[in-house]
Amino acid sequence: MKSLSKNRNHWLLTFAIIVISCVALCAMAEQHRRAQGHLPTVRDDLNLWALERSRVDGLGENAIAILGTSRILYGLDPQALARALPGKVPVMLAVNGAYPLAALSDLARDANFTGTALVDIDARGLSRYYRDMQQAQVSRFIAGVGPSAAVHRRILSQWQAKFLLGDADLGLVPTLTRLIFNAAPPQPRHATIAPNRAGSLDFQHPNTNTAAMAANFAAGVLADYQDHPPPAPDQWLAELDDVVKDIRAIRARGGRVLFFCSATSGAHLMADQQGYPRAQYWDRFAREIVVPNGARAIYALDIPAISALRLPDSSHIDQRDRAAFTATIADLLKKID
Amino acid sequence: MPFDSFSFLLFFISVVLLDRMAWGTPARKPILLIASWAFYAGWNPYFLPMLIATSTLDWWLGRKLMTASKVMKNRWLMLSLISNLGVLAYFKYRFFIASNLDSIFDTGLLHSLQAPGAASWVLPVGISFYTFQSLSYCIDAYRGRLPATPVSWMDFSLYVAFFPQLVAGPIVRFGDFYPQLARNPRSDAAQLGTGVALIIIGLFLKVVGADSVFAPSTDLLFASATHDFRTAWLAAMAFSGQIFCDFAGYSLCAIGAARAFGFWLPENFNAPYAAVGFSDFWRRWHISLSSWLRDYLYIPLGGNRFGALRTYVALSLTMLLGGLWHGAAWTFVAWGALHGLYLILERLLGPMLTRIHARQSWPVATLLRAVAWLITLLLVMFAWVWFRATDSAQALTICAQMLAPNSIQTIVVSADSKLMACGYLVLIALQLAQRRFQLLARLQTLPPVILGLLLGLLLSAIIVSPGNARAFIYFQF
Repeated sequence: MKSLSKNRNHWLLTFAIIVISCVALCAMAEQHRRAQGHLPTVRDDLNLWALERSRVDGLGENAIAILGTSRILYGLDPQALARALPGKVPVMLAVNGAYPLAALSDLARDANFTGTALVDIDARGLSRYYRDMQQAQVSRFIAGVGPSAAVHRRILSQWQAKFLLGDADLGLVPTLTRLIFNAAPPQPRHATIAPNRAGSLDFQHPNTNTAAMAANFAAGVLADYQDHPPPAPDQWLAELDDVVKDIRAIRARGGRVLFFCSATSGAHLMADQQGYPRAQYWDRFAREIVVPNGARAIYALDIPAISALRLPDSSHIDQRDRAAFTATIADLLKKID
Repeated sequence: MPFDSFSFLLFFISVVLLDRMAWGTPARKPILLIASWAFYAGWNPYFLPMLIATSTLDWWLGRKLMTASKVMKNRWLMLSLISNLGVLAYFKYRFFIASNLDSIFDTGLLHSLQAPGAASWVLPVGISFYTFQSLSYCIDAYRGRLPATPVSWMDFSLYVAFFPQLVAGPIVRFGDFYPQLARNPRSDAAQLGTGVALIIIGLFLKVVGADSVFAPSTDLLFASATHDFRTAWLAAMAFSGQIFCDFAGYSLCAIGAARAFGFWLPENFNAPYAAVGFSDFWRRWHISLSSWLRDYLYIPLGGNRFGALRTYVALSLTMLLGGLWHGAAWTFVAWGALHGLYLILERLLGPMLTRIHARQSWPVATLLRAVAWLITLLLVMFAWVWFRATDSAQALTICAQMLAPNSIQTIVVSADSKLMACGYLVLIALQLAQRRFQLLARLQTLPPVILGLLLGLLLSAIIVSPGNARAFIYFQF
C-alpha cells in the first residue's frame, strides 16, 4: 500500500513537472514569435477544403458555394455575407493559386447541390490549361474525410487560428536549421486564414512591399503566356462545352450560377488584357454562354463600388475593404434571386 | 485514428476515464472492445464490418481447430489460411497480381479490375497486421499450443481489435495476450505514468524525428532527378532515419497506450542500427514481425534442420515473402531479397569471421566488430532505398550512385539535409549507447524532477513541431 502511494506520488510529481515545464516552454515560444510580429493563421489543406465542401450538401437552396482563387478567398467575408443575406449560408471553397472549374464541375455533378455557385474567375482561368487546378481538392472530397481526420482537422484549425505554435514555418526544426546554417528567419506574413477558410490581407503590415508584389503579378501573367499561349477567342469559346454543361446541370436543379471576374489594376490589368482582351473573351463568354444558359456574369470593374476599391498589390483588396466588397457582392446576389 | 492527432488525444483521455470507472465490473471488456472498434472506424467506418467478420470467422475456426479430429483439423486450418490470405490477397495484392499476369499473358485483367463499375475497395488500414495476428491464433490452435478452455468471442475480438496494436502492431500472440485478458489487469499509477511517458517519447520520434527532421529530406532527395554519390547516400540516410523514427515511434505509442490500460505488449525495436550482423538486425528490427515470420514461415519451411541448402532456400523464401507482406510491389520483394542475400552471406562467412575475430587481441577484435557494425548499417541503408523508391528504376539509379564514389559531386546539399545528417548521427549514437545501457529502462529510474523536465522538454518539442502531418508509414501495410 505504501509502495502504491509512493508510486502515485512519484508519477503525480513527474506529471506536474511535465505540465509546468511544457506550458512554460510553449508560452515562451509563443511569446517570442508574437514579439517578432507573426500572426496566427490556419494552414489550409485538402481535408479542410473537403470538410467545407461537405457542408454544402445539407444546405439545399440556401447554400452559397464561393468558388475561385485568392481574390475572393481574401476578399469576401462569409460571415458578413451571411448577415447580409439572412437564411443563406456561404461556404468558402476558393483556393489560393488555383482556378475553380474542377470544383464547379463537382457541384454540377452533385444532385444535392441546389444553391448558388459564386464563381470568381477570369478569362485566363476559363481556358483549358487550368481546368484541373482544384481536382486534388475535389478528389479528397469524393474520397471522403474519415471521422477521426475530420475531428482532428476541426480542432487543428482552432489551434492554428489561436496559437503561433501551430505554424509549421516557425517550427522547431526549421528554426534550428536557420540558426545553425545562418539562414534568414521568415518574415511575418500579411495573409491570414480563418477556420472557415476565409482569408484576409493586411497591406499595412510592415513587411509588405506592394510595388514588388504588383510587379511580380504582372510579370507572372506575361511569363505564363509563354507556357500557355492564349487560345484564339473562337477556339477558347468552343472549349467551354464543359462549363455549359455544368451551368445547365445546376440550373436544371433550380440552382444559380454567378460568374464574377475580379478586378485587377495597373500593369497587372494591362497584362490580363494583353492575353485575353475583354471584348473578345469575357464579354463573349457572358453574352454567348452565360446568359443563354440562365446564369449571370459580372465584370467587377463595371461595378462602381468595387472599382473604387484600392488594390494595393494590383490584384487583392486590403482587409479593411472586405466589408464594402462583401456588401457589394451581397447586393449582386440579391439581384439574381 | 493516428496517435499524433487531436482526435486520438480526446479518444485516449475518454477511454482511460471510462476504463477506470469500469474496473472490476463486467463492463470493462465491452468498453475496451467498443472503444477499439471506434478507434478503427475513425479511419473509415466501412472498414469495421470486415474486421468484425474476419475476427468472428477466425474465432469460430479456432474453436473448431481445438476440438476437431486430425483430418478435420487440416481442413479447418486450410479454410483459415484461405479465408485470411484470400482477404489479404484481394484487398492488397489484386492489382499487383493482375498487372503481373497482364505483362506475362496479356489477360487484360488489370483493365477489368479498374473499369468503371468494378468494385473499388480501398485497402483497409492495418489489414496485414490483424490478419497475421488472427492467423497465428488459428495456427497455434492447430498445433495445440493454446489453452484448452474455450475462448469467448469477446476475448478473441478484443485480442484482434485491441486499439493500441490493431493498426500497425506490435503483432501480439494470443498466448501472450489471453492470460492478461483473463487476469483483467488493473492499471496503477506506475503503469499509467510509464504508458504516458512512452507515448510522449514515441510521439517525439514520430513528430520531431520522422516528420520534421527526416521526411522533408527524404521527399526532396528521392524526388530529385539527379543524384551523386553524396546525395544518394544522404537519401538512404534520410529514409533510414525516417522509417525508424516513424515505426519505432508508433510502436512506443502502442506499447505505452496498452500499458496505460495495464496490458503488456512485446517490444518491437531494440536499437536496430546498432546491430552487428543481419541476424542481429532482425532480432532488433520489427521484432514482432520477424519472430512471426520465423515461427510461422521459416521454421515450417524447414528452418535450419535440413542442411545448408534447404536453410538458404527457407531464408530466401521467408525474406521474399516478408518483403511482399510490406507492399504489393517488386521494390518490396527486392528489399526482402537483399536481406535474404545478406542473411545467407552471413551464414556462409559467419564461422570464418568468428574464428578470425576470436584469434585477435582486444583492440583489433573491437575494431573488427566496429567494421562489422558499419558494414551492417551501410548494407541495411542500401536496402532501404528499395523500400522507399517509387519504382525499380529510381532504386537502381540511386543504388548505382551509392556504389560510385567517383561520381561528380556538383549537387548542392540543402541546409535541411545537413541538419538531417546531424540528426542521423545522433540517432545512431543513441542506438549504440542503448545497446550498452538500455536507455528506456533507465528512464524509469530517474528522479521525478529530472524525468518530468526531460519529458516536458520532449512534449514541448512535439507541440512546437507542427510540420506537415504525415500518416505513419506502416499504416499502408
